Amino acid sequence: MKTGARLPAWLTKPLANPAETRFVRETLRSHGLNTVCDEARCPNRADCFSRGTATFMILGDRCTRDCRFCAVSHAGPLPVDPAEPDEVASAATTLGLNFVVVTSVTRDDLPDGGAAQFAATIHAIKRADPSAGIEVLVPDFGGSTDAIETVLAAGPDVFGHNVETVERLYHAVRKDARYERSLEVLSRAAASTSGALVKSSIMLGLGETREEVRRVLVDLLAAGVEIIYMGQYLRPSAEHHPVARFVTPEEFDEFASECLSMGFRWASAGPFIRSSYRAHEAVEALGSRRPAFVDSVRGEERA
Amino acid sequence: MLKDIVLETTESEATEFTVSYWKVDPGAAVREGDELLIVESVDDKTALAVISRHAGTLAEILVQENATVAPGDRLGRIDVE
Repeated sequence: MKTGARLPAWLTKPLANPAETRFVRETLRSHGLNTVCDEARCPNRADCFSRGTATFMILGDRCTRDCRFCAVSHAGPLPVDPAEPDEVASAATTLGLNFVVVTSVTRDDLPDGGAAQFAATIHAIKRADPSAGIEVLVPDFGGSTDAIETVLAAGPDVFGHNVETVERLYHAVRKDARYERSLEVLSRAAASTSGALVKSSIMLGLGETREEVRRVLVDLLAAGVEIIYMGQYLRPSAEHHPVARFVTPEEFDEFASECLSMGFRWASAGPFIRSSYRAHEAVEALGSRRPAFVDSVRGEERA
Repeated sequence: MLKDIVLETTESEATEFTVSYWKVDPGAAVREGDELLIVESVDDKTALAVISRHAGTLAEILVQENATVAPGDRLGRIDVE
């Protein structure tokens, strides 16, 4: 009966009606903003858009890297838009978001990798809604400590950087990234006094072994990562890295349990888990550690 | 009364889908909101379930597994009485 199926039954979503996502789409369009939801062809976007939420992607829609798992376009970058932070904040207000997730393309062309734009966006969101929770999902900034500190000083509740896959597959799917560098970004964030919760994500189904995944989990924990997300890699097009296998929902459940046993404070794992998907849940469960000095900065900004 | 099951204009950017399989056999009762059949496109990362807009009985299947369909196409019919 299922001879026509390319994907397993657990990778099925209801065919969404555009009317349910119109408000989010029109808000994004009117502010001239990009989302990683659309650019990465996220399978959850209809779900999230119909619930009135989205993950903003700043610093343009052109990435300076060309990772083999990612649908975001690889092209010469555009100038940084100084109005973008306020547009993100305004759109978040229009959408009524009390938890805002901001990510970006990688900008190896910028001296700070785009860190100042992240910081400006965090500040703009806080000016618009001081109570909004903020999560950033940052590129590796070439490993720059200054860039990491710039972002953390703005006071996000969550500092996310995705290792994406196991070390062995970096050359095949993240050729311009380095596993050790990504771990360093995370450990520097965890060692800082900012108080941000540190988060990372891994895709499964790229060809990794279970033992290799365990190795990554051990490394992430050692780096100080507290929140871990794991999801199924899905190929955005025939030009991208093939799916090696479909991990069953039961295996994802096992990984989530294993992560918590190992010492992660929050683990989300499932076929449709993406690093920004229902991101607010971890912070709601763990509680923000937004530090006092950031609150005082916000107070001055409000005055 | 027979109501068409139509592949609606969707959130997906795809213009062409392949019928994976029907989840309901002709003659079976369906409720509004039930998943009727699964379609896939190379432009989507997921399989997509076509949802019934009516309650009734699946009267007829008009597109078979592996058929190519586009938004607006009739996929089957539901007897709503």
